[in-house]
Amino acid sequence: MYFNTTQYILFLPLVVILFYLTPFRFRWFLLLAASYYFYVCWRAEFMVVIIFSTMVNYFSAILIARNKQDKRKKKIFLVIALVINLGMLILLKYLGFINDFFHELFNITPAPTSPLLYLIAPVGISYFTLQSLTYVFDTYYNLREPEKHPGIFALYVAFFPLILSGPIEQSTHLLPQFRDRERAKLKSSNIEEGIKLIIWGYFLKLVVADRTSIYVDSVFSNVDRHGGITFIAAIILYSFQIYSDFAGYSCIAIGSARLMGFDVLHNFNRPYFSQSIREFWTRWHISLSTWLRNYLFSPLSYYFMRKLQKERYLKIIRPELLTYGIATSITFLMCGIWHGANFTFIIWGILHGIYLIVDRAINKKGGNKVVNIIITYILVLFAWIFFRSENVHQSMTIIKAILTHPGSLYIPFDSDVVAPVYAVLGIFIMLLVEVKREFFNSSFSLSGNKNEYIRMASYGLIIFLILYLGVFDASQFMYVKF
Amino acid sequence: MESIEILNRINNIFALVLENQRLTLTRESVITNVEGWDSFTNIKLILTMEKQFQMNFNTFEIQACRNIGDLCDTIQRKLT
Repeated sequence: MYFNTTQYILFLPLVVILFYLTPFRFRWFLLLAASYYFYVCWRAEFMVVIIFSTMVNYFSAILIARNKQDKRKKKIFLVIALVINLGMLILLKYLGFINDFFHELFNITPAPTSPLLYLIAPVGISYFTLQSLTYVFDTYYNLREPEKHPGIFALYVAFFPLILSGPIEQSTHLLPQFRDRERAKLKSSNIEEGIKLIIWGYFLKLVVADRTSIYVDSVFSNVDRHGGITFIAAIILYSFQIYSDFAGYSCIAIGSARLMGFDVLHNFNRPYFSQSIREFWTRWHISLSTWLRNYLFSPLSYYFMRKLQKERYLKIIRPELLTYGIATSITFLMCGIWHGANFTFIIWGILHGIYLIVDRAINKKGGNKVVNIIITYILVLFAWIFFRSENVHQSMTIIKAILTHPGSLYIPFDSDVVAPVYAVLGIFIMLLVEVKREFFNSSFSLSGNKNEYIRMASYGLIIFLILYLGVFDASQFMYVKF
Repeated sequence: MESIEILNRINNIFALVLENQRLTLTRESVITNVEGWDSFTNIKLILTMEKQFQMNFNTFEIQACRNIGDLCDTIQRKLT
């Protein structure tokens, strides 16, 4: 069940109505049943994985907490939880890729046609694995007591607005909300805010992302036929496509949770207005970057900080910069790998790591705001070439064309000639809203207006635009595949 | 050492490392609302605080600190 299907549009209001009709102490059960039903709609056999993951993490946290005073035992249970969680992720998502890699490199593994090596990864596994690990780590670091109620913990893992593509919620933020009676009361503000987020999410997905994808897909499916100018246009459109698709999904997820009074952290903060790559990663996929900072970058940097005690390395590198370089390289390598079993994602991750290290080494401050935004956007665009390409060879073909063979702009004159026009219109409207929020936030607002008629009219306008400009083929959200 | 004195000393360390003499921290200050405090400068801050307070922070203690107040409490606990 995707968010952009009739099924979900019927499912969500039903769940919300039942939620408010159900006595508080049974709501966890209703939401868990709804979440499992939502998940089973993908493939019933995937339930085995999510239930197994839930049990492993539930018991791991309890055992970690029980052995608070015994550091060695505590660490053992943490390692067991990590091995099982990450082992499952590697087995189900990366085994085929690893097999291909070693087969090509050393020719020592079974031929890459074995079906056991290409299991279908359960949808959402990358997300609920990280979300479960935040809970285990938070318990290990004494940030919270383990959740004793297995049903509420199972709900934390499988909560349907978040299960497919996040946002990856901190256990200290989301879990207490399931027990919060005050939060669970029906409030018109929650209903309105939730609907507003959902409507905007559908606009981003159905109008901007899906309209833009028509042009982008047609270019990337025929890379040998196009020149540099077309690729530049396609990658710019892709930057809007991927942002709108994922931000749209996040809005719908956050809005769905808000309808029931749950507060889920925002995942995007107008990332293309960033003035540096450093800033970009505080605005793009915020839940993932927070997870990586808290549970990978920080422990790595503290570890290397202790090991690197010299005044200077290679005569010029300060230990804190070397620490930052090592920790950042590993973190963004993992970030790339997390996104998918393909070298293009790994290169994308490594590129961002390099950007951050160079940015830190130069440590340039100030400068013209517009120039900074443009330079940052260009760096992000270059990395998106790898992210979007099917393989490294395709990325290189595109880069070569951009540098050496401009060609002429590809304009489709087939049956779907309006798609680019609608896409540009959708992007224009989105940018209008984003510029307003970024630079003129205190001035007049339609959707945030005190007058409820103006607010309702603005929602109606967006719905009209969705119906007129949107694509209704229930296409998959891009980040579901990660 | 009193909590307020610890906060003042932390403030001085932050002002030095972040090169901002006008910086004023509160117990509620977090990484997202202090200019210049990020994952990189955090490394330098931890190192400097360890030297100034003559103590080592372990991973638990660092991870558990969500704001300056938590950091003050951790330092006070380690000093007593």
